[in-house]
Amino acid sequence: MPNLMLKGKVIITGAIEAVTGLHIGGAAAGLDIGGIDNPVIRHPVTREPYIPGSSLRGKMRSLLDKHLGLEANKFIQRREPVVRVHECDDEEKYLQCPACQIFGVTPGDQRRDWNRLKPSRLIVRDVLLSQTHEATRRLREAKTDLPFTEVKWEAAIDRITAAAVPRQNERVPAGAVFSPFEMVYNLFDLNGTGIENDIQWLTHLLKAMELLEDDYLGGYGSRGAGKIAFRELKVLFKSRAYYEGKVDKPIVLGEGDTLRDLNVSQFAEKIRQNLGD
Amino acid sequence: MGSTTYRLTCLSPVHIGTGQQWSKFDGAYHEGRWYVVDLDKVFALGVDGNELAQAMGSGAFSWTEWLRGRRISPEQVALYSLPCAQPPGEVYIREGIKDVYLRPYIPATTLKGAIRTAIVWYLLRHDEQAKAFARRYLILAVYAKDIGQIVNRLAKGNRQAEEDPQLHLRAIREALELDDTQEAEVFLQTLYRALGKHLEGARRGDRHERVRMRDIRDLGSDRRFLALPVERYLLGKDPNHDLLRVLQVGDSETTSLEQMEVGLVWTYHLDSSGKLQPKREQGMEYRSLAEWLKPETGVRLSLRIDENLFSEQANKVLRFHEAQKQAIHRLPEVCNRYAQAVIERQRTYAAQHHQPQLQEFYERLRQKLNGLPDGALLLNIGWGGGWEAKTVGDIVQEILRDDQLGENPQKGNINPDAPFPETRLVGYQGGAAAYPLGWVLLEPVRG
Ligand SMILES: [Zn+2]
Repeated sequence: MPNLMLKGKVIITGAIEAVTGLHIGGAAAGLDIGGIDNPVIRHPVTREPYIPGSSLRGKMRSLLDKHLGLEANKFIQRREPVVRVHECDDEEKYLQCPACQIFGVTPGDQRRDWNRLKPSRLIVRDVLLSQTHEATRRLREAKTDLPFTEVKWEAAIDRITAAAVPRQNERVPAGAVFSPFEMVYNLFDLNGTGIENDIQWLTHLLKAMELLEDDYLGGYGSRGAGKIAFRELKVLFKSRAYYEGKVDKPIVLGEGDTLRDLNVSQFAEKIRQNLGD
Repeated sequence: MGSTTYRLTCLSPVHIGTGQQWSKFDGAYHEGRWYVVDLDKVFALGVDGNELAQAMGSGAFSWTEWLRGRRISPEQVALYSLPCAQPPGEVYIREGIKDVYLRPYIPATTLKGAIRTAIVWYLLRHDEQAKAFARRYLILAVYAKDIGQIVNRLAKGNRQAEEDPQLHLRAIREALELDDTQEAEVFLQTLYRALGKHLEGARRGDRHERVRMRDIRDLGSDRRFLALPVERYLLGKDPNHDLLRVLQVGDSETTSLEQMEVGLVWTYHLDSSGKLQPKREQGMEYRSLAEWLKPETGVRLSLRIDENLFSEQANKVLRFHEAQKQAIHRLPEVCNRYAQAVIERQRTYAAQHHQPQLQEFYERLRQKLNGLPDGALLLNIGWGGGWEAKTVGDIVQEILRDDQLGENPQKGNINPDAPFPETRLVGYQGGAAAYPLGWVLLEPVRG
């Protein structure tokens, strides 16, 4: 029976700013939406647009996979459009694979028998439209087509006849701010092998955030939508000692308005010094 | 290559529509400006809604008069206002795109559409096989109804026979009067490919690859999608395999409402003496008004090439070939070659039909193109640039002419007669014809 011990949590909080319009697709037009072709996802209770943690997490993973040159070997969907992700099949490779370690692998198949399989380190929560930010107030006052969103009409033009086909696309306007966002990265010690890898792989998580800023979130990314920026960042470390009440405050690993303001290279050393055991 | 920032400058007015048109019920013209009325502001002044609705229903309603009668200045109730070339009267005003804070910008979709057209044109120009495919497809589109009828006759109401590729082959041979079986076979392949089906699969009896008689008869009949098979041939079979996924275009930054005005656009056509003239028919003037970005307006935007999609791994699925990669990597050249072709045709046309303002504009544009700095490019975007600037029509016309099918590719199932195109849109400045719409310059911003 593998012995798993949580040695601490790194908690990244902040805000996500939509630098361009943001379209994270929701269910196809329901009656309450009024027949929009491509609606955005809305919170079931507040009806405000939000960013699902799974979207954020999924996109960061695929960008990190590509960045690390990992093969997308696992089919999520075999029929067209084919969707594939990376997941290590081999236990030895898994132990060295930051993407699989940070984001986890599905426990199915032969992985049940692995005895060095850790649960995924990362939890990403849903991010709601900020309730306090000035941007939300402005958006509330702006003449939007639907609450907090614009419906953009586009025309696809036939390249022989020049005949137009109109289509519509709902999106959260540029400038909207979603907050608070929270990601929790767990540091696990498995069978007494320590957490040194977990500590070092934290930089990959921050790398994935940086890659996301350079890419896009949600749909229509290659047509201008989905550019985001992480803002008002704070990275905290809560050690096991903290949870046991032996330390009264979490350690601030870094703080800043943008990713570039964080001193990521010092995170590992700060964690090692404050493990408290 | 990562992300490149460009400065976009409007060389002529740029109108990018929202699908919305303002009528006299939406706003007021007052002393050279157009005011879009914000009903919330009107009601905030204590106006009775029923009374207003009644006034609007009277037929002769005008916001200008209505506001004057109540001593309300248009400014007080305006959502926004713009300088306006002339009182709109009964003419609609095409709304120009703005963000929710009323700041105009150039959407990525618009830019990407223009770039896509240039790439399609360039690939078609330089790929004989693709051009041969397009040629066969267009011929099939011209004869689609005939082929459909022959299929109908030969099948004698037998559903299975109707969907038999061998019968389709016979129908094509007969309709196109082809002696060469091999050539008929290539036409058959083209037909199946144009319909997104696999001929070999159909021959093996795969149900999903079946082509029905109606599919054949309707080939090319919807003018909104006539170019689709050619685009799929050149760029990829579906949006997931599309070459243009590689190119990530950003919305431009926004600019201020000061850069926008309501401009006059007049439809020109050839009069009886062969001159390109403002169109007036039966007392009707073919004018329209559009909210456009003024010439000289500048905004920044960025383009990024996602090289990941050219990686060895992505190549297993996407299989972009060398010419496609080149088209992306040499984007400025591709766009400029297309712009050159468009400008040349438009300039010649304006000269032939005695329209000096347009001719002069295209002369200047040609000079601009010849002296572009490295990495800069010209595009025509939005509304009003004309059919030439939105299509690969010149190549299609060449094909139709070579095969003596006529030269009017605008209609679905292609109508080979009628001269084409018959009209041009002309933007006015200070009451005089001045330019076509939509020409922009993109220059990379260094450092
Ligand atoms: Zn892995």
